[in-house]
Amino acid sequence: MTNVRQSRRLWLWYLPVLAVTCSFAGPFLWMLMTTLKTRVDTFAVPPKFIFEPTVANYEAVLNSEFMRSLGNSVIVALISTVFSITLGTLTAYGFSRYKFRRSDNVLFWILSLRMLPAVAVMVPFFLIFTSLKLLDTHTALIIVYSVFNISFAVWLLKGFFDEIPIELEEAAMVDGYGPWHVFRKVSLPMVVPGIATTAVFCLIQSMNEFLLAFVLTTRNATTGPVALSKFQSAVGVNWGEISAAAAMLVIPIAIFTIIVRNQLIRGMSFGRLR
Amino acid sequence: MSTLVIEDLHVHYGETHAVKGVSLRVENGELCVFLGPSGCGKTSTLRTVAGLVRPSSGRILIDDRVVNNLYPGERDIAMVFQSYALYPHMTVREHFAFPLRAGKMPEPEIAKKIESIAELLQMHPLVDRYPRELSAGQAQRVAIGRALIRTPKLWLLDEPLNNLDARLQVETRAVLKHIQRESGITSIYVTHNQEEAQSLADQIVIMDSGLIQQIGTPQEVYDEPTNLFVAGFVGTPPMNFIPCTLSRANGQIVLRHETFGLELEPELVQRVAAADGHAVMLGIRPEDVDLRPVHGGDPASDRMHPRGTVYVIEPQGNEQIVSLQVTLDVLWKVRREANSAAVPLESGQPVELTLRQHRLRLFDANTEQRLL
Repeated sequence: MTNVRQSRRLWLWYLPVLAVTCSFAGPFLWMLMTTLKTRVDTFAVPPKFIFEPTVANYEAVLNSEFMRSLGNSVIVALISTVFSITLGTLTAYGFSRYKFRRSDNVLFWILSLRMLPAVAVMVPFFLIFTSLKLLDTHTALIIVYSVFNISFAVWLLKGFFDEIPIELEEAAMVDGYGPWHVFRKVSLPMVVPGIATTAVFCLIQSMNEFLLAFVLTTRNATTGPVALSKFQSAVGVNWGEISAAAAMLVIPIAIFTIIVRNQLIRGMSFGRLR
Repeated sequence: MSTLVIEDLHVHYGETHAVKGVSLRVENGELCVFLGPSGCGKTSTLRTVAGLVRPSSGRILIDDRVVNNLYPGERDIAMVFQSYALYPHMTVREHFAFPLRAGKMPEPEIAKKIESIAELLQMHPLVDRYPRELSAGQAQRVAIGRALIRTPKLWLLDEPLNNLDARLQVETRAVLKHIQRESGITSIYVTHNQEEAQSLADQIVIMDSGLIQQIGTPQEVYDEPTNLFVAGFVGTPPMNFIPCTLSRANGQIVLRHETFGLELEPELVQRVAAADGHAVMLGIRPEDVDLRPVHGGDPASDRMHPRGTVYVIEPQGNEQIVSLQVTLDVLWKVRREANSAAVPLESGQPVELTLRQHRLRLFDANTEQRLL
């Protein structure tokens, strides 16, 4: 009896779970479907769920300028992420382990960089990079994205470092290691899950960014999201090709997430130390 | 193999004065236990020796060399933490290798060392496990192994048995003492458990509020406590106390309490110099009191011996602990053999207490220093 009742109740639990999953995955699946549809099928009412798939959209995108932009996106996002994670990890460790006067204020100042709306700094950035002759270069975007990502990484990673019991580092010190090796051999390996999580966030942020990329690039360094917007033309919007391009923009993030997935899961179960 | 000397050590944490002038000497191969209640400065002292805390003043010498300005890793010490402090990302084998790799020992030699320490701690089947796959007792052994694999000059243990259950505590205690004796490494062991201190120590350092109260062998601190704090802290059940006044009449000294007036034996009289009407605290160990059931009663004022009523009896196998209501606010505990020859007692029964006078301890009620 109770077993039946329990399994029925368990089943009921799946309803909200399913609802949430659908609301998140639905639009994404819709987009994937659109990539395989012809123009006519895309606008069919009622929407077609069974149709004859076509790879024409992908073919068009693969042969277009968009691939270059996708490459730009990947280069900018990867370099900015590596840069942000490296600096962020070191800074976060410093803030976590060495308290100094007003360190909390400094920390908040770092976070406030992340709170800045892009619109607010758009024009200054434009002027700065104009005078530095860095407009329309990868370097400009890497610098700008790192400003946002470093502050984010510092905050997230400080939380992970704070969770490491101080005795672990003390034990390593007593065992004969200096400060650098304590960091390298004890603290750093323990925040790898945190680093993986932060890296995924930074990567998504950099791959997604539109406004600043739109303002700071014109042709050579155009990123994926900016290129996407250019699929709208005078003759109308080609949704099939836009969807195909968007799907390809997801691929680098998906690959990275799959590579670090074990660490992400460990990141969620972090804190079970003894 | 070394000696440790601490000279006039002070430690401040911000406004708090945690250690207020500690000086002591630990001889080669000795196991020295720092004993005291939490917040007494024992752990701060230990951490200062380890180099994890900077002293505000004072010197620490290992083998006659001042180590104040050395990193923990440069002091050639090893430490066992209360929380074990095992690294979650390393296997048992890697834990053992960790301190050796710091010293750049060649790998084949490290493997040999790991072999022998795993043998000693009976950890062979577990060397490839991670800390989360170990029980508390096994984790404890890893912590011990990591500390000892390098044969350090000093072995520091910070309440290492706290997280173990009672049975395992007693077991591991013996293992620790055996290993310490075998290796002959000079050791400092911090605990608030006086029973642990008694069973392990060559020398006990009793601390309270940042000061050393007494240094001595386990027997010395038990038999000859220098002040009221030590007397009350060492021993389970603790020493019994009752406030009295000293009065001198006709060459006799009488310990006077509202309910009794105990005449001191002649040889004790010479050792009490204190004057008439001096307020003292009488102390007596639970095993130094004899009980005799009484029936009815003489008038309360003229009794020589204290009396009480049995409050509760706690059998402990071969002995029993009898709690006695001596006055309204004084409860004494008396240790008594549980053999059949002893007169059986029951709750609520009035008894007369005979104190073994040569085991009697008197403390000044104001200074809390020992008088007798």
